[in-house]
Order: sequence, then C-alpha cells, then structure tokens
Amino acid sequence: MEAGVKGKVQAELEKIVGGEYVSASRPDLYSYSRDMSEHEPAWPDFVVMPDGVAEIQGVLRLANREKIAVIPYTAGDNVGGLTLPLRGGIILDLKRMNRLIEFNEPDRYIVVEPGYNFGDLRRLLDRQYPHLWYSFPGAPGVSSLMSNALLMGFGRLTNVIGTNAENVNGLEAVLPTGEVVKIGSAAVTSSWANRAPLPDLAGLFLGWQGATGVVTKISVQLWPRHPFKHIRAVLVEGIRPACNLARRLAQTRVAEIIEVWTFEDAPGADKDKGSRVNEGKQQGAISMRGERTNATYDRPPGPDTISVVVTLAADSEEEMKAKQSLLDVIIRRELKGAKFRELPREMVGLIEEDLPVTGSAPLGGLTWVGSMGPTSRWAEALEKIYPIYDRYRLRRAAILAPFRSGHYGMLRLVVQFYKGDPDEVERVGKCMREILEVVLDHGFIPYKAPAWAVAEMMKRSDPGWAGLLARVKKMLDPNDIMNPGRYGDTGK
Amino acid sequence: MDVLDVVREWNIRCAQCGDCKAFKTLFLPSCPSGHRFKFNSYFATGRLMIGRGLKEGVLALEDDDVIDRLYTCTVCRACDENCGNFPGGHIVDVIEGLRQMAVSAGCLLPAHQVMVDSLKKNDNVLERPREERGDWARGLGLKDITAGRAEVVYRAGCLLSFDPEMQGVARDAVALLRRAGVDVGIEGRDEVCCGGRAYEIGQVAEFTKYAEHNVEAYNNAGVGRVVLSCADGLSHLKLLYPRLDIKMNFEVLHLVEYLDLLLKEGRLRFTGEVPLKVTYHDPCHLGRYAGIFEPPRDVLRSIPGLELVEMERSRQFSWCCGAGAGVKQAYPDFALWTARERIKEARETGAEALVTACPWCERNFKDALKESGESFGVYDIAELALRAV
Ligand SMILES: Cc1cc2nc3c(=O)[nH]c(=O)nc-3n(C[C@H](O)[C@H](O)[C@H](O)COP(=O)(O)OP(=O)(O)OC[C@H]3O[C@@H](n4cnc5c(N)ncnc54)[C@H](O)[C@@H]3O)c2cc1C
Repeated sequence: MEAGVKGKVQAELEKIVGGEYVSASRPDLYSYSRDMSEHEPAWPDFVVMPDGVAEIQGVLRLANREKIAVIPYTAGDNVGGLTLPLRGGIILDLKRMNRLIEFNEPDRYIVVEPGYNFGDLRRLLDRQYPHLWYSFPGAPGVSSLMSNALLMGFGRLTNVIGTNAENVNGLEAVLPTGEVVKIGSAAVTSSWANRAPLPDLAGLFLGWQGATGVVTKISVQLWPRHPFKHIRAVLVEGIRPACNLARRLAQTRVAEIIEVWTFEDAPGADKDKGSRVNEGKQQGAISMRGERTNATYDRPPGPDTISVVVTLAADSEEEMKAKQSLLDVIIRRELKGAKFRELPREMVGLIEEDLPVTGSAPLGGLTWVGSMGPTSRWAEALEKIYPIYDRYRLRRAAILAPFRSGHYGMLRLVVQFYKGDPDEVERVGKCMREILEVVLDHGFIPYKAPAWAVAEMMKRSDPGWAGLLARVKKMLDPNDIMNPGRYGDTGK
Repeated sequence: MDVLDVVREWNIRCAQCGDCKAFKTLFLPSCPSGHRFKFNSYFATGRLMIGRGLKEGVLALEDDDVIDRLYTCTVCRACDENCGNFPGGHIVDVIEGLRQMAVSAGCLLPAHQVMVDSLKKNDNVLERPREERGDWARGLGLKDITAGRAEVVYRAGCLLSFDPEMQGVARDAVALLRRAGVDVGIEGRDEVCCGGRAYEIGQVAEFTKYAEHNVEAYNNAGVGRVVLSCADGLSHLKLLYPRLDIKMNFEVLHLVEYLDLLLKEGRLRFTGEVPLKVTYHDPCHLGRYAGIFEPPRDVLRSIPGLELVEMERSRQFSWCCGAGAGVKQAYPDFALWTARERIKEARETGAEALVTACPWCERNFKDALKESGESFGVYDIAELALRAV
C-alpha cells in the first residue's frame, strides 16, 4: 500500500476504533503473517481490533471504499492458512469482542460474540451448568467457538449432531458494504432458538471462511452432558476392519463419538515399529509431544495398528450397561476373524478428560487435509493415501469419525512437521496436494480448505455451482474485499 | 553461534497455537502483557515470532516496537507453564536471550539504563547510596558475617534494604529467625545486588559480576545457609547462579521454606491469634520458578486464627503481580494494571488481605492500591508470622 494512502487509512481506522487498537508496527504485522501450517507467510498492512458492531461497520465501509482486503481473525488456529492476508490489507482481530450475549437455559442455546472461545464456554458449563455440554473440538481453548461453527468444525458429539454448523440457530453479520443482517428466528422474533423453517440464509456465511462478511453474533445449541461416561478403545490390525467397525457402531447411535486413529504414535501403538507412545498426562491436558523429526524417516514394514475409540454416555447405570453390552456384541461381530486387543485403561483415561489437545505440533508445524464425505469409501481412500505418505517419507497419520450416525464422516490426514527444514516443508506441501487429489477422487470435500485446495476443487466443480457461488460472493462483496483467496474469489 | 542461532530452534518450534495465552484447565488469562495489550506480539507466541523475524532479517532490534514487545514481559513463566510443545522454561529463556541481543546492539530502554547506571555506581537497582545498604538493621545488633561467623546469613536484597516502607519485612524476618534460636548474621553495608534484574533485562555481564562476587563472599564467610525474603533473589541465587558453574558451598532457602522447617522441627511455635482471612499470592519466582508452593501455605495454616482461602489462579497457575524483569521501572502503568487485576481476584475470594512472600510483589500491590485510592490489606508472611509468636 502506498505510504500516503496508508497514513490516511490508518488515521481513519484510529478514529473508528481508537489509536490503541490499530497497529501498523512491524512486529505486530509480522506476528499475524504466519500460522502453524506450511503455507507461505503473508503480511497484513494493519491489525485492527474493533469492539462492537458499529466499529466493524465503520472499518468495513472504509475498506470497501478504499478496496482494502479485510481478514476476520479470532485465534488463527484453523490449520489451513485461512487468516493469512494473501493480498495484504486489514487483519480484523476480534478477540476484544468476547461477550456472552445470552444464555438460554430452558431452550438450551447461547448467543456469543466472535472472541468468545472454547475455554470461556468450558469454564461456564463446568462451573454453572454441569448438565449442559457442547460439541467441543480438540482445538486450543483460546480458539473461537464462532469461528469453529462458521468453518463447519466439529467436536466430540459428531455422531449425534454432525458439524457444529448444523448446531447454529442463527447469526448476525456485518456485510462488506456495512449493513447489519440477522439470520434465523432472531431476524423475525426476539428469540434466537431456531433456524428452520425460514429460507436458510445461514448458508451465506457458514463454510465461507470469512469471505462474505463479519459475523458479530452467533446462536448455538447446547446438548445434555450425561452423568455416566465410558470410553472403550480397541486396537485393530488393518484399515478395513477398523473402518467397518466404526461405521457399524455409528449406525446404532449408541455412541456420542467414534474415532478411528491411525497415528503411528497413537496411544497403544506398537513401540517396536520405532514410534513413540504419547508422553501422556501432563497437568490435566492431553499431550501429544515427542521428538519426531521426519528428516530421516522411513516407514518400517508391518501392518497398521489402528485404534477405534468409542465414547458412550448415559443418564443412568442401567442405560450405560445396556449400551456397553450392545457395544460388546457389535465389536465381537464386526471384528470376527480380525486381530484386535483392548487399549490399556490408562490411555483411555486421557481421552475421558475431554480437554483440548496440547502440544500437537512438537516440531512447530502442523497441517492436514481434512475432509468430509462418504464413510463407505474411507478404507479405499486410505489405502491409496498411505503410499503417498511413505513416498514423501512422512509419518502416516489419519483421524476418521462418522458424523450423524455415519451418514457422512470425517477423513483427516495429518502431518506434524519440522518448520526449520525447507526440504521437509516442501515435501509436506507436495504430499498434501497429492492427498487432496485422492480425497476428491473418493467423494470427500476438504474442510477449512486452504486457498490452493479451494482452487483445486473449483477446477473440478460443477460450473453451475461455481457460477452461483461467484454471483453470491459478488452480491455480498462487490469489491472483493473479504478474505481474498477463499471461496468465490475472482482473483482480482 | 550467536544467541539467535540458539533461540532459532525454539522460535521455529512454536506452532503459534496460542496455548500460552491461557492457563490450561482453568481457561483463564495467563499472560499479563498479552491480556493488557491484546495484539499477538505481546503474547509469548508473538515474542517467539519476533525472534524468528530477527533471524530472518525482516525485523530489527533498532525498531522501538520490537524492543517494546521484548521488554513488556515480566518473565513470569506462565507461558512456559501452559506450552504443551515445550514445557520447562524455554520461552522465557528465548525472551531473555533476545534481550541480551538487544543490549549487545545498544538498544536499551532509558529506564533500564538508569538501573544499570545505579548498579554500577551503587550496587543496587534503586539509585540509593551504597552506604545506606545496611541501615534497615540499625539497632538490631545483628552479627556481621564479614567480621565473624554465623550459621545463617539473611540477605535483605535491594528493595528491603532501601525502601523505607518495606524495611520492616526484613526486620520481621530476622526477628523470627532469632526467636527460633537461629545463629543469623547479615552482610550489612557490604551486601550487593544479586544481579538478577540485570540478567532479566539482558545485562549478562553485570549479572555475572554480582553472581561471582556473592558466591565468593558467602563461600569465604563459611555460611551454611543463605536465607532470603525476596523471591526474585531466591530464584536467581538458586537457579541462575549454578549456571555459572562456580561451586556454592552453601544452601539457598527462602524465608518461608526456612520458617516451615523451623515450625516442623519445633524450633518455632505460633501461639498468638491472628484473626484474619487471607489469600496467598504465589510470587512467580518462588512458585513457577523454584517450585515452592506448599511451605508458605503451611506456614500460614500454622498461624492460629488465620483463615487461608485460595484464588482460582494459584500455585503454578498464579497470575503475576506485574513488577518483574524491569517492567515496573520501564512500564509503571502496565505494572500497576497487572497488580490491580490480582487485587480484584484476591477480593473476590472474600479475603481481607493479600499475603505474599516477595517484596517486589508487595511493593507493586501497595502502589496499585495507593494509585487507585482503595484499601486492602497487603502483607508479607513474615509480618503475620511475627504477630503469632
Ligand atoms: C491442535 C488443534 C486441534 C484442533 N482440533 C479441531 C477439532 O477437533 N475440530 C475442529 O473443528 N477444529 C479443530 N481445530 C481447528 C480450529 O482450531 C478450530 O476449528 C477453531 O475453532 C478455529 O478458531 P480460530 O479462533 O482459531 O479461528 P481463526 O483461525 O482465527 O479463523 C478461522 C476462519 O474463520 C474466519 N472468521 C473468524 N471470525 C469470523 C467472523 N466473526 N466472521 C466471519 N468469519 C470469521 C476467518 O477469516 C478464518 O477464515 C484444531 C486446531 C488445532 C491447532
């Protein structure tokens, strides 16, 4: 941005949000120019921290007039480079807007601002509403509940509710042109309790990665937190039996979440294969740390040991017993003829605590191709993906989970990598690209998709859909200011 | 290999996940500067990135904003407590390493220059004449270890030696030790700064000078134990001095540890009632640094009539007082803001007073109260303990 313009814009921004909350200083800009993923850094021109809808309107009107990019930001933990300002502009850091607007206990929903994070909700529920729960992700406690829902993220109730976007009752947003809109029942009544049966305009914001406006309030549903909880985990040899078991269990609706972990370092994984078991409990949080450089890694031969982890919840002992025996029956039936064993109790205990995962990037880099699609094609996709990991000398690591009793499911291919080795970073980038191709070939759609993955998907997409997407984007964001490089970007 | 090569490794390994920003499991803010100034560069993760930016040559120490971000940290180690990737003090090590580079590059904050000049001239960071160092003990008839032997030397440190409002803490401390029959002496006018503040602001040469001097002095005096009321001093003597690899022929104890020991050995007894409801603030250097969490609580619990209640952020999850690592001198408003946050939390427990075991914390809490015109009790443990004997 040219210096004269920059000075003028900065002065206007300062008038809108106050001088203390606008920065064009180099250490500030630099600290928003990277994230934990392998994506190239990109510098913003300003970091701005508004507080309130009126201030956001002011910033967006100014940005729209000056055609400056605006990137909504809450914690930058999306793992897809989604808050990297690909064309510079303003990082709109929303962490000051962290209020809980409404806690509606009878109708079990909350209305919150963008900066309200998972830690805030977890505290509140633990202390004041222990009978209520949310589909908490493994994401850091400082990451935003709203951003997670907008990104169609998910937590530990996936087999019940699917993604957290399906959990949204309504929202309020500031459009790039400065108007404020409400979506859902709050648009018509004083209640934030539901989205149906209105024409569903939530789709103008859900899944868009901040490319259509700045959401300022969101209403999400809370779920029961059952007093009885039980985790059962089995180690299964081979991808197919593990996937079949997870799919079958999902259909019974017996579990809140079923996860399939194919980490070599997953709890209980075979130490003899040169991998390291998680270091375990560390002041109440789950730690995944360990020294794992990929620089000299070659996969040792042998079958994959895969953990299938099932979380049961119940309101009474009798209900729990019934669920456990059903689980027993299914495990025995589905794993007939397969090699399997139970995961040690102390490993299961870690998962029971349901806390954010910490230390998930011991080498500084964490990235993934996360995707959602047909669970019937999990095993087939994984069998094609594993050789890609091996070819790039990266550790095989996948997490799978059926959503909404297995109607669809997650397939997430993860890489922890060392950011200090350019060769490794390059390998990771290439590996992710190859994996994306396989994922798309098998009917899966990447979530929290980085710009390159969106571009790849657009190449394959139905022209009618792509055209409609571009028209919606144009209508809402005529000057293409919102988070460039994401969905609907015309590349101008 | 320069400091940057060493810190580079850690800078790269920071995933920027933000775990450092809040106490895990409590989900409450942990980083004073991040919580106060909000931009990412004020959190640990931002500071590690600054290190990376310096290494890459896209940031420069000559940039005042870089210096500001590096020095608005109280080195309280809350970030290190939370980091799941590399727990164990590496973040603060990096920040201190970057400060050393700033000093080498001649990029010093004016307020810190004053401290360094004062050290050079007066052997203390408070700009007070060296000759007044032992005045706090005038009339107490304490042994002088530079002239004779004592089993234990009590180190008052800079703040308790020179701050007239705080000197009572040192007097209470030695009174308690004498009640327990401890053979205690002091260095009087010959005591010098521990050098810890110098280390924290990046002045390693100054630190080394004082560390070497002090170790030699205590070794020569043949003392068995050095006892301090200052948590900063304790952690510097106990954790930093050994890095110099000079043999220390003495044990270093904080007063609360020693009192706890004396109580448990039956050499000290609390009999007087102190009817007060208090909450204990863990000084970062005593708690997170030195791992001393229970002794101060045990001492407080031994005081008849005293009720101890806990703040939510306590022990390793304690919120910093805001005074450390040169922040009080260079950023007084921020230091007081941090203290006010803590006082607010202390009040919420229903306690009538905040008790601590570090003069820097106590000074900052008292200043914050003075500034806001509020009243709330602030005590050093020694003060309450003495009331009970
Ligand atoms: C270790 C780890 C584990 C994780 N586990 C999970 C998991 O189990 N499940 C899961 O779903 N995710 C997971 N994540 C991903 C991610 O952390 C979460 O989805 C998280 O909630 C994102 O929040 P954030 O505050 O970091 O968002 P950011 O990264 O700051 O923003 C995410 C996106 O939302 C947009 N955005 C932000 N605010 C607004 C707004 N107000 N209006 C419009 N757009 C906006 C941004 O522009 C960006 O595109 C994990 C991440 C990590 C690092």
